Amino acid sequence: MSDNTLSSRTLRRDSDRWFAPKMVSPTVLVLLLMSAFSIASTLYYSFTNYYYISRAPLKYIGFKNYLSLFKDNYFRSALVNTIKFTLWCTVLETICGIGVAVFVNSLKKSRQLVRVLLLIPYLLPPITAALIWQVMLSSNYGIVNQVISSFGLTAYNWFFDVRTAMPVIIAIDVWQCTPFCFLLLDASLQSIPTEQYEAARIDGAGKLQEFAHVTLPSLRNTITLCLLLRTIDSFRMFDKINILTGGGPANTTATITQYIYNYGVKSLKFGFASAGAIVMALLVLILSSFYIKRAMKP
Amino acid sequence: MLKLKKLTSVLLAALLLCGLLAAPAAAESAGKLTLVLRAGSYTDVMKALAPQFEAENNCTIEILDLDFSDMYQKIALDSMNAKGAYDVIMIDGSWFTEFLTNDMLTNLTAMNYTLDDDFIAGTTKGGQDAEGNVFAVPFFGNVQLFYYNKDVLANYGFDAAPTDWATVLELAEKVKADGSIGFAARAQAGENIVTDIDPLVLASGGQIMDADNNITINTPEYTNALEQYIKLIGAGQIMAKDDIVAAVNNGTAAMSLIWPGWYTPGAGEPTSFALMPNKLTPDAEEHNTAWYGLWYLGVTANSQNKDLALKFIDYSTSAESEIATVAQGLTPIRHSPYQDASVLEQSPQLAIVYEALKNGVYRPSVPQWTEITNTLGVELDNAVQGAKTVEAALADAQSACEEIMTR
Repeated sequence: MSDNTLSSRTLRRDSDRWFAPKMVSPTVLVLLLMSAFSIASTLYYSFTNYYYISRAPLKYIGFKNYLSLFKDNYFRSALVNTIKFTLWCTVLETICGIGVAVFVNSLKKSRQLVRVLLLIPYLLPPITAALIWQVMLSSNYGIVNQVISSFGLTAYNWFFDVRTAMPVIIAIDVWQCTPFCFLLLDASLQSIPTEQYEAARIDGAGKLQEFAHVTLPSLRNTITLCLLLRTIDSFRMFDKINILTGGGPANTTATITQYIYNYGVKSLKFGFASAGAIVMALLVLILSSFYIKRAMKP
Repeated sequence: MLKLKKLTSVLLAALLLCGLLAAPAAAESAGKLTLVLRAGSYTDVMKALAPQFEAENNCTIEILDLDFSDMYQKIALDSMNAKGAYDVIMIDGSWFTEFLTNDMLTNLTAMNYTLDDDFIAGTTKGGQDAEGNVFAVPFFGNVQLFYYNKDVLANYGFDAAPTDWATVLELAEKVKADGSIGFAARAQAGENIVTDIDPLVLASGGQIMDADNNITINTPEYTNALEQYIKLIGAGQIMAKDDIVAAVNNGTAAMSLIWPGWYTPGAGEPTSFALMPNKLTPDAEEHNTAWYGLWYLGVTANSQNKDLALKFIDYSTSAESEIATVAQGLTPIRHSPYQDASVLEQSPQLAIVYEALKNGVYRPSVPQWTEITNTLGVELDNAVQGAKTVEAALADAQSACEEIMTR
């Protein structure tokens, strides 16, 4: 074999080896700028006394922000509230999404129209949804209280009672985000072969058994995806809580994001807020890893 | 076809050229001012004043109207830029010390600005540093007032608002017993609940901080005030600000606290302002109990148009401008508008506001005020909701606020 053939083969092998990295490098660069840089700078600031409007030089304070965070009862109660909120919203939204998807799939007529109508809450910006419900549940002129009053009952202060504030926000989030789960699950339902249902019917399976032994197993991966995405979203929820209750009454609706906003962002203590953000990111990562491991199983 | 395409291209090029040539001509103005204002009547006032200033000074004015928290954050974030995007900012009295400490404001005295004697004396202190240099000019005379429905109170034999808190509570309980809301309160964590309770704290002879800025929350006076406040809520209801105004206006609620910036009743309306009750019981010692919530106007330290900004502030806080914008909801901060018969005819309630402004009480002026109100507000909310006892909440608030002050 001649030297020329050898060197051109080596050249081609080298260029093949670098082809893939070159092709992904723009994406990696964008990801590095958008994600890695912001995470690294948040991590850096979390170890400092960064107060945004102060002209004093930045000081490294070690783990002081993290210690302040974990020593604070309100952070711990925000953590508990976040977990409660995430669990309730995720489970309810997924269950309702399954129910609605199965129902819509069973419709013989107007399936498209029903799908579109069901999507409307999800299309609204979260702030709009929160404001709509704030007006509807107003103790002064809200339609919900007017209906309650028409039955001779006293109008209720939904957002300012410790017993109802969190359940109401959960209900609003379920109302808005169930359509997202419905969309994923409905698409997945379309891909279940009808022969499986026919075979089940031939074997004498009723509707419930079809649901339990055909529908649910086929939706398993999509349900896992719904649970993962809704967990991440619910964990980070901020807009509805900030608008409707601000974390009150008595901190019963304060989640980690609301805590970070109240104690870090609002007072411009970005060092402290960064520590809160890092802790939250780690918690989301830990939660998500369970789902991702599950999803990666063959 | 080719000729038509050529003609179209020539015409488009000519239009573009005209646009380019016209642009420099339009840019030759005195400049642009960006105002950051609180949404509501404050913005309506400025929108009414802006056109005349723009015409007289050949400039353009852009108005950003934001809510309380957004204003604070946007102003703070922009303050770190070398060239600021904002020129004139509305400053809440409680932010002033923090902004001053962090060099966010222009020294107006150094620009030869002086306050004249027509400004209500007590209101100017909140915009000056310890040496008397003016950094912010009083603009809106917000001061805490009592708000009540005249018809509802008349049903219980009151032709004016009670002047002590024990009578307020007694009346609220009677109203509640009859199925209405005795007292509508904001009572939400943060600045809201702190400002709600403070008139009772002041009436009790207490305060959040003493003259040396030591925290004085865990005291018999504050404890008494908080217990009274919880009883008031028991005879009433917690509501959002807009709901409070609507409830008192339509008679669903009998009484509340209010800031004139929220709403000022016009002549012939069933509601009225009153001076804040200034004692706990009919025989108790009287105190000044109206907290100032004054709004000021300042020029940002990084403004690109300081001279024009100061000229606008001077114009918008003049007596003539104040008289002209009472119709838009301005609460004047000078003596002369309150002595103008046409102003009082438009808005008779302003006579009460004037009395309150002459005797108002400033909130503590410390850079840590935002943090203090967040922390204290959470503990007060806990006590009101029954999550903690009054004693435990105030003890926790005392130690947390002391820690903030020592950082």
